[in-house]
This record gives sequence, C-alpha cells and structure tokens, in this order.
Amino acid sequence: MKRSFSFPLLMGLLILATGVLGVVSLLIGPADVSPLRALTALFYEDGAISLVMREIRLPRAILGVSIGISLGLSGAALQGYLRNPLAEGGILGIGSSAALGAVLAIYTGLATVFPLALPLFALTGAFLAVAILFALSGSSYGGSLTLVLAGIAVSSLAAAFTSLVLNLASNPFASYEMVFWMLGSLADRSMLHVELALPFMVLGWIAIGFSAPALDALSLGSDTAASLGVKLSRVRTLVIMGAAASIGAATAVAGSISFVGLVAPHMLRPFVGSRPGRLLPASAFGGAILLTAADIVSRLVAPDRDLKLGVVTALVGAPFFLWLVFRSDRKLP
Amino acid sequence: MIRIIATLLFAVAASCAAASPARVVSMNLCTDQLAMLIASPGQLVSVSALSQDPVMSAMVDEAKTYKANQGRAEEVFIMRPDLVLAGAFTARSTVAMLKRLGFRVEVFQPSQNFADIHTNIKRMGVLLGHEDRASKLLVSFDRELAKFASDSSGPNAPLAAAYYPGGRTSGKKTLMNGIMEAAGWRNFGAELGITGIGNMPLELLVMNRPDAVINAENDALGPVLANENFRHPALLGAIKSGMGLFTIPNRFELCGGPFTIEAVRALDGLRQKISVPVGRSQ
Amino acid sequence: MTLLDISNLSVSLGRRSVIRDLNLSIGKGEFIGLLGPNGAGKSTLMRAMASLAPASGSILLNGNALAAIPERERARMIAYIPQNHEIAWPISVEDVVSLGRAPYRVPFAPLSGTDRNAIEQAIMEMDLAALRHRPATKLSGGEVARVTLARALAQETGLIIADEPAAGLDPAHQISMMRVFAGLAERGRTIIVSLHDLGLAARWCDRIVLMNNGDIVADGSPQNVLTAEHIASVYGVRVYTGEDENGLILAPTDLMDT
Repeated sequence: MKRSFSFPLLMGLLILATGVLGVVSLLIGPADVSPLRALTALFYEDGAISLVMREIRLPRAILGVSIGISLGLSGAALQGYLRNPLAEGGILGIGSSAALGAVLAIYTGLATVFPLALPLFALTGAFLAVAILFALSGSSYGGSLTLVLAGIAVSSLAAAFTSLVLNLASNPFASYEMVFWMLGSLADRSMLHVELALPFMVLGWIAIGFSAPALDALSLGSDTAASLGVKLSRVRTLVIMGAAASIGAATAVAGSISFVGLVAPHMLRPFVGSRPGRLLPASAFGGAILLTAADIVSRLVAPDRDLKLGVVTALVGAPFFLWLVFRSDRKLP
Repeated sequence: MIRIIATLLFAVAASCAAASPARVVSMNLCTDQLAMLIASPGQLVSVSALSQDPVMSAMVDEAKTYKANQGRAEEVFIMRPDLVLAGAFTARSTVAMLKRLGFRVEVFQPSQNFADIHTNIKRMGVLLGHEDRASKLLVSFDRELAKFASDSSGPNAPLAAAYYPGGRTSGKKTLMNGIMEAAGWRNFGAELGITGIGNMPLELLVMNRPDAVINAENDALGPVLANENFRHPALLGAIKSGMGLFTIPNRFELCGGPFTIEAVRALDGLRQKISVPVGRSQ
Repeated sequence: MTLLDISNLSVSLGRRSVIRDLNLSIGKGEFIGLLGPNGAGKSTLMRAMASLAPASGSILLNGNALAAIPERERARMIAYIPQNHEIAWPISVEDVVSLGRAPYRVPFAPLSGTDRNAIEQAIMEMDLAALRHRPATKLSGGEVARVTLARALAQETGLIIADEPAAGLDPAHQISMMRVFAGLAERGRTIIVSLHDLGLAARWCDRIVLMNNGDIVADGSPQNVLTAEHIASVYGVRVYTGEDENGLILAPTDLMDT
C-alpha cells in the first residue's frame, strides 16, 4: 500500500472496540439482569445486583482487558526485540514458567500466609524463562528454529514441574487444577485478584513502553541500532522486566493463556507500517480485544461450564501459528 | 421321604449359618460405620482405612480397634470373610474380582435422605443377623430427629445453600438436602432444580442472598484454587446474616447414620441463631 | 586536522586476538579505502572505530576519548553501515531513512522540521523518491544499499564508516556508490569504506590503508600502497596496473604461483 493507515484513527478504533467489548463483558452472566439495570448497579446501590456487578463481573472485565493488554504488549515487544515474528509469551514458555512460580506459591501454602508471594513467584518464573531465551537469542544460533525449540523445551519443563507440584500437593484435588494453569480462566476472579495483579501489570506496561524508540532502531539490526545511539543493555532489561512483570502477574491470577501475544501483533502489523514502536500500543489493545472476546465467547458457548480461555484462544491461535510457520519457512535463512 | 426331610433340614441349617455371618469385612466408610454400630463383638473383622481418618469418620476411636484395609481384593481374600460390605463407589473391578473369587459381596447405595438411612440400617441389621439392634438404633434415631425444626417449614423457612469447592452444590436427592430440610431450612440447590451434586454459578447464589452458606471443612486438606471461592467477597457479602460461611465437619455429612443427627443439630442451632423467633415460647 | 586518532589498539574476539597494537590517524575530509584479505581485521577495526567492539588502547575522536562520549552524542558524529543490511520488518523506505534521525529525536515526539529536512535531503541524494513508500523487504540488493546509505546520510555525521558497501552490487551501482562517497568527502565529510574490489578502491579513494593479519601493512596514496609487491604479498595475486586521466586502473589477473 502506498500510504499507511492513519495511526490516530487506528488507535481510536482499537480503544473504542476495547471499551465496547469491556461493557459487553459486564453484561454477560448467569444472573438475569437487564443491561441498563446492571450498568447502573455498578454506580448506585442496588442490593444483590450491585454485589454481582462490582465483585464478580467488574473484576472479570478489568482482568480481561488488562491481561489482554499485557499479552498483546509483551508479544509485540518480544517480537520486536528478538526480531522474530514467532516470538510470544505462550509459545516461548514464559506463561508456563510463570504458572510454575504461581503454583509453587499457592500449593505450598505460602500465598495464604503472604498474598504478594503469588505475583512475585510468578514474576520470577517468567523472568527466568525470558532471560534464558534472550541468552539464546544473542548467539548466531538465535534464529527462529532455535528460539521456538528453546521455547518448547522451557514450556515442557515448566509444565512437567507444575504437574509434579500439583500431584504432590497435600490436597488431592490439586491434580485436577492442572487444566486451569495450562489453559487459563477468568471465572469467579475477584477484586482481590485485580489488586494483586494489576500493579505489576502496569509496571510491566511502563517498562515496555519505554523501549519503543529502541525497538524501531533494532529493525536494522543490533549493530546499527547501537551505532544509532541505542543502549542495547537498557532495552534488553526493559523488555525482559516488562514482559516478565506483565505476563507473570497475568498468569498468577488467570493461568497460562497462549497465542494472544502472537496473533495480536501479527494482525495489526500491516496497519502500523510494520513499525515496532507503533505496534506496541496497537497490539496492546488488540490483545485486550482478543482476550475479552474470548472470555465472552467462553461464557456464551458454555454458560454453565467453565470453558477455559485457553481453549478458545488455541482454537484461533494454533491454526494461525501453523500458517505463520509455513509462510515464514519459505522465507527464513 | 427321608431325603426330603434331610434336604429341608440342610436348607434350614444353611440359612441359619447365613443369617449371622461370622467374619465380616467392610470396604466402605459408610458401611464401616453402620457395621460397627450393629455388629456383635468379633463379627466385624476389618474396616476401611478411611474410617480411621478423623476428618472423614465420625467413629474414629471405634474404628481404630479394627484392622484397616485399603479396599483391595488381595487383602480381603486373605481375611477369608463370609460377607463383604462395599459401597456403590467402591472400585467396580474390586467388587467384580471378589465375586468371581466366590465371596458374598453386598453393595450399599449412599443415603440420599433419611428414608434411605432407615433402609440401610435395617438392611445392615438383616445382613449381620442383628435385626433387633438395628431396630433399637432406628428408634433412638427417630426420637432424636423429632426434636428438631417442628416450627420451621415451607416458604417461611430461611434459605441456605451448600457450597463445595469448584462452585458445586447439593440439590434434591442428596443427604445434605435431607439434613437441611430436617433442620428447617430451604435448600437453594434444590430450588434451582438441581438433582444430586451440580454446578451453582456464584452470580445466582449472590443474587438470591441466602441466609446461610454451608460447606464442609475443605481447607483441612491443604490449599487448592477451588477453595478460593470460599473467600470471594461477593459470596461473603451476599450472606444475609453477615456471618460468613458455616462449616459442618465432613464426618457428619459424608455418610448417613445416627451421627447425621449431629449435622441436623448444628444446622438447627444456626437457624435459631439467625432467625427472629416468631411465635416460639422459648 | 585529525578527526580520529587511534593508538595501540588491540581487539580480541573471544580468545582470539584479531588486532594487535594498531596505530592510525584519520583526517577530516579523507576518503579512505580499507583493504585486506578475508580475516585481516578490517571489520573488527571498523567496529572498534564505531565503538561497537570492546578495545584496549586509545581512540580519540576530535581529541576526546571515544569510549567516554555518550551514545547519542557519538551517534551524531559517527554513522556506521554494517556489512549485513538486515531489515527485520517490511517498513517503508522512508521509515528506514527516518531511523537515521534517532540520535536527534526526543522519544515519542514527532519528527521535527530539521529531521524532515535531513530525511528529504538524504532521499533526494540517493535518488529514492520513487521508492519512498516501498516496503524495505521488497527491494533489490542495489536499492537496499542505497536506502542504508540514505539512512546514514540522514544521520548528518562527520564520519561515515561503511563495511563492504559495494558487496553484491552490479558495476553501475558500485560506481554510483563510490561517486556518492567521493562527493561527500569533497564536501567535508570523512569516509572510511572497506572493499574487496581493488579496482574500485584504487580509482576512487584518496588514501588506502592495507591490512593483513591484524596489522597495517601499508598506508598512503593508491599509487604508493597498491603496488604489485604489496598486492602479491598480501593477496597472493598478480595485478595489471594502468592509468588514465581519471585515476588508477587496477585489475587482478591471476594467482601468484602460476
């Protein structure tokens, strides 16, 4: 295309769509309440309806949007930094590692005593995974294949340890919760979860945001970027910390959700002229739209069962990923 | 003629022997407890290991005087019982194996209401050859039960919901339902139309603002995500009495038996605590 | 006047010592061809000059220690064009050239008037106006080379270091590129390019630095450095030397031992 899509227009549309879906998310639930009454009950006392809206639906909507932002933003940042379109928190095992951290915090009873242990452990797990992947990407072997293989290895290892912890947990029902950690869910999340996760997610967003100009320069390779005055170590720290914080906190309260961070940047890249810096906010809201839509779909398709978010995102994301691999396979060196 | 008399005598002798088995092994928590109450000394040879668990069993001290079994065919085989008691959820393969090996296995269905408790106690009495003991047990059971909730029933009764990990509840045809009714409560799960144990969305529970939410003690087993809902602000905020969750010890609601009365007693006490006394002389 | 003063430079890649105790002085406005066989240390020397490789010894830029100059300030003084013109995403040619303004831009602020001027000028200079909106991944080798050079031009630096900019280009593009460099040098910029094509270097550069095994073997005018003896000992090839009114003509003819 000759002229690229207007960036302010794009952002306006994305933010609007996010807002609309957020409101729709607030209106879906087993309780039979008219939309108008539901929304008013958020602001004005209306007995049990207010309780449902403020304590059940509102945290779910907030988490849907903020976790979507975290996944989309970190996916775009990882792809920009690694200069690799297959990079994404779920595929690279960052989500699984965060889940391992969270599982360690919960099932050892630590999180009951010290609630902040949950997001902190999850962050640490995520951080270790990102650090491993970045270490691999620095070498000349850091091409797509190596990265994805490393991601599979990290992911499998984390999942194996998570199963182990769950199997050995004191409560026998812990084993059944593996599905939550692997596929993710927003069911019955409360404002307590929002309070635990949102601050860390926001910190992650800010860190990633500061890396935007550097990611643009990195399109030309790390040598050129350095010669343009980019402090490579600073960018690496910002992206690692930002991705770890946002993915870690998100996983701590909702389990590991894959593919959102892969699909969102890909769909929006053509609309921002492939510029990594502009892709960050676009992909953030793209992720929010995808995840909130997935949560809405999971509630509409199976209202009385807890259809895991990861099922919906995988049904969309996995075929998409396959298509990507086949497409890039013909172009990659 | 002599052959007929001999056959008859043999049949009578055989049925007398069957009337009171000498070695009984129980493989299920619920049959364990009923058997312990009805068997004569030395008749019951082994009970399942679960009945020695203080969280699950209402008769721990008694159970400890018996040999424990893990519910496996080999163990039972070695004990050479003439009657094996199992529950409906005892591993089918084990039950099938024991039958194939020639053992007499009697399977008990879980009690879903007080009528079932009656049936199971009577049947246990017949199987163990102690119908008189069973009858005595039933008489005192009924007497105890009659003490409760004569003043509360129908739409005036307060609303309770049972809440289990994972957002599940007891609907109609469950023991918990029977306990709630006997204690003078309406059961939200039954009103939702659920039969057996089913899903109860948190939102519906909150919208209907129950007077009490009842669960069994789950934290005792260790932390799991499924228990987080018990601390959900929406749930706690919805309970009209503002009292928080009411916990019934597992051991009183897992199996149907005389000890079930304890659960009724606890719930009745709760009801009296929270409801405004209307027309009661006390 | 000396722009770059290099003394006792030693650079190692891992455990291998690539450059040992190298001394070099570069003046303003010079067009230098850095020559030498594969593995001589040309790329490493250039990266050290661009402050991209850790080095011991001293490199002074305008009298100041290179390592002490903050990154952004240094980026306004030295532009570096690596051998591998990688462009990871299909960004437009105009966006690639704009990236040359990175050292001047306030983060998240839009392009300033000065920025736009520099970008326009670079695009015109490299004849890229028609390709302005073309995604960079859809360019031919020659076009990519022009775009990369345009980016370096937009950076408005006094020194441009280019590692094998002529590699893979057809003769017309090779000559155009050398012309551009020569023009820039005439207008006061300092250019250092590494080349494998002896003919190009001989004809266009005003100074040749010949390297072998991490040392400078000869340094001076093309006529003085690119002698048959030097070329034979460093490259192991015979060469035919000619001259016309525009400069030296050099063509390798055969391997030494035949």
